[in-house]
Amino acid sequence: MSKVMTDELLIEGILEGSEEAFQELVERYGRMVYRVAYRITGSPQDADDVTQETFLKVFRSIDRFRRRSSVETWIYRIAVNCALNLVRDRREEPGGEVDRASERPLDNPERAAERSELRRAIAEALRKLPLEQRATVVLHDMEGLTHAQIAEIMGCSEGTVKSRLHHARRKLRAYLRPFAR
Amino acid sequence: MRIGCRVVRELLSDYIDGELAKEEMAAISAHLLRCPRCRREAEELRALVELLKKQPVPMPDDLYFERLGRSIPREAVGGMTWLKLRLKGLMRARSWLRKAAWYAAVASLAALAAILIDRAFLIESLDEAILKSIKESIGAGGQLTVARFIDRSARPFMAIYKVGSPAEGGESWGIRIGDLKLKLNSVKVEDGAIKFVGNLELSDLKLEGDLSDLLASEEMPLPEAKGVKLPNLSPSRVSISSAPKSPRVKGGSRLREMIYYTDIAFVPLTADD
Repeated sequence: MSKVMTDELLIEGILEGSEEAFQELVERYGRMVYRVAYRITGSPQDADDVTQETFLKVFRSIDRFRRRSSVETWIYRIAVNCALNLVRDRREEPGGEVDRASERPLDNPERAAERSELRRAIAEALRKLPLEQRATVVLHDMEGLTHAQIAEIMGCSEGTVKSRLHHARRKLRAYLRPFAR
Repeated sequence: MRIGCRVVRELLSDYIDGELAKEEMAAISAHLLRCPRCRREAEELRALVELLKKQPVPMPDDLYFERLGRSIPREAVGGMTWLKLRLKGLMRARSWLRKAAWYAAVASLAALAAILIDRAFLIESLDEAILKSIKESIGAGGQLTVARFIDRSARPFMAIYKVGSPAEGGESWGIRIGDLKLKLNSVKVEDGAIKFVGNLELSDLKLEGDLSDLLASEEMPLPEAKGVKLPNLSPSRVSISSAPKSPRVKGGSRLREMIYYTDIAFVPLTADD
């Protein structure tokens, strides 16, 4: 059963200028957007930028939302595009993506000691992937979306999703082999 | 179907996702049983996917997300200015909220409803609908006073509807309920009517007149004689609806679901009764 206050109703509410509906949509999808943005960009600052830009775009284009896809998929698509564009821009900047992405928050010290090496290696490995493969593996293996949803978000066929996933995992496995126990 | 290592490795990613045809899945499973190298590869791939799944994201605190909505500039929503939208919305009398109340009614999952019932803006619509429902069930000539108290901080939110017969005047009512406490857990539609399902607590329930026809159901927990204090019915469940007319008891299951309709509770007795 879907949420009681459906996403479609929230959108109608926003189009009627409802502050509550506006807040509710952000409340409902803010964490999802931040999470996927963080996973793609690898940096909290960039995730913050992407999250704000995503909702700005969502609200600007809300009258153009068509019910062909779900609100969730639509927001995912905007978020993924914002994140990928940001990473593309970063790559052209001096210092590149890696420098920015290394600004990450400090962890709880004990847990950080235990896991940070592997975590950093995973983040590093993800960053080495071509952007489409990175987004695909994030959406499938980390966000848990289906091939069909990812195809819709990325604007490609399900076959392409599978093939990107296959190649991405193969590379990740090779990059992370030194960590395999 | 017998397939070789090269083909298997090309398909392993789809295999661990369960995205292959039945025969292909079976063929690869069979291959993995006899080929330790491919098996190892499959295990590594699975371990990788598990590892990725478990990668945490350091999330900002709740305050960040509360502020986020407010920080988005409002000047260009859907190609219109926020002010224009608000005016348009006012003219349309917040139709989305009315629809929301209806949609809320359609949803039957109690937990989900409870989450949303927390939302102040929905509470108002629900409250309105409940009052309307009570008033309708009293009938057009109903002169009952309905006082309400809503505790918005309670979870699920609690509404107390105090229903009393008119202080003066010749009309009396079949049943008087001192305090009808309704804890809303879910909202659903049944027989075309919006129903609010929640916990009912009755206190100081006084019965007057003959209600045997109305309350014929043997499962209805009624006091034996009039004036007897009804035991606390909580956590039985109550529905308020403007239709249908007769009381119904649903159940037989271990958790007996009582459905009361307000119609049974507020039947006016004329002077002839």
